Amino acid sequence: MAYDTILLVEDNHNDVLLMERAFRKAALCAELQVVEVGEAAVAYLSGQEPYGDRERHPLPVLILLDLKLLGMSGFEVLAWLRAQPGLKRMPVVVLTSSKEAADINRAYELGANSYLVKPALVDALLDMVKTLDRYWLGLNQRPDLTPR
Amino acid sequence: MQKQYTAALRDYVEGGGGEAALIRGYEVGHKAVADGLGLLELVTFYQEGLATILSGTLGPEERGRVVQAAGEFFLESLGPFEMTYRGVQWAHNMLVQVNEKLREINADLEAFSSTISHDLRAPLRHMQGFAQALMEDYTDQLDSVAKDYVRRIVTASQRMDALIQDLLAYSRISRADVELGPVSWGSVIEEILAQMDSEVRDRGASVSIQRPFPRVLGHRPALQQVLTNLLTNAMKFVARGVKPEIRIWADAEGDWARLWVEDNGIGIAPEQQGTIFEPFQRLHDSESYPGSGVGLGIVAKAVAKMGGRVGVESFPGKGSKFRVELKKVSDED
Repeated sequence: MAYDTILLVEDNHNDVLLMERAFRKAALCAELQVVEVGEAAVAYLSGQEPYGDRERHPLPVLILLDLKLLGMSGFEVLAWLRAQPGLKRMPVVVLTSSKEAADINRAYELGANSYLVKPALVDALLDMVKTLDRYWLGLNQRPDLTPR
Repeated sequence: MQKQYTAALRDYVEGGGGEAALIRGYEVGHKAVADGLGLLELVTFYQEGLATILSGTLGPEERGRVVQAAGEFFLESLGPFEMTYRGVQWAHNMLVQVNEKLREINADLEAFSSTISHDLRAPLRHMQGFAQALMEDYTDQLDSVAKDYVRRIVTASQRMDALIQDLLAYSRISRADVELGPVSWGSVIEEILAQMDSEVRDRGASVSIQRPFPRVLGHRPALQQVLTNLLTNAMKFVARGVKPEIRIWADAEGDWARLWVEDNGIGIAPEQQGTIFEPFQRLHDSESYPGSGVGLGIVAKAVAKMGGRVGVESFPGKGSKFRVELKKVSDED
């Protein structure tokens, strides 16, 4: 069975490790792909090298996007994505440590589908990953990502 | 004032000019400024004064000389107004500059607290996360001492996280634009009690509220924060083994509505009651009563922002009675 892919855009290696652990623990039918900078997210989503092979790097059904990245920020990735034909329909969940109203509002203005704050406790993170899976991969109706 | 102006004007015009007589023009102008009179009033004094002088029988040539001299006097009496105007302009420019500076400082603070919430909290989250992961994933390889150490890492980082959150809350309330409007104390109390329900039950506390509560001039989020902090303290600062008993009621004193939160806690010594509303004042070691010492600082700051006052009546071992006073809008909701 083909696994669904979730793309995690996260530049902090500790957060990546904790997220990978949560995915393992939750035993999801989804594969986690990780890119560490915004530029790599753009390359991945537009199928540029080294992400050209869609067998190995399938288009995700969901993006988990950190806002504070080196170089291109999460906001810029979001703005870029929402300007792409087809791809602009892809669900994006912002996952960040900022609770500042300015960040939250800006993310929604740029077209985020949800905004989550990174939980401090691993149990809460595990819960969050399970909920994301149930909602976005289970309940949610998926858009057609082909441009037309 | 009109009489003085006319007399000084007449002296100058009829005395054939002269420095000393001209200075009296400046002095009359100065007095007008000092009395808070405006430019239009000065013009009226001048016109009336000139009309009085001209009402005498004067030849055409004499009239021309009088009008010219009166003009010189008028200009001199305008001097103090000009100076005041320039002073006001200077002060205005200064205020604009100071305001701009404050705006910059505020923006810096905004960026600073956003950085704190991002950058300082991330390492803490990782400490907690990996410590918990260690505990769960390697539980059979850790003996009880090792587990205790790991637990201490988790607790310490949680404590630091709470401290940072409190600091951020304090800085938010300090910078916030608090818009005042009528707020129902009763509904805020209900809301906060519902929110804190599990904490109240965990601590085995009993909270009794005595209606009615007035409607006050305030800011809802600020009032929620105030009540949350007061209730948290009332439940926290009790002697070991004592179940917190909290009573909330309101009364009025003139235009002021007073909300009271009374507890059966450990109380506060009289000499310490003066400083408890300052931020970062801790009266106890963090082992027995953990906390940042910011809670009452936030209460005082929030109430001050709403134009109100806070106070406490307490005695060691006899509990505390905290008081929040705000302008009353109506007696009942």
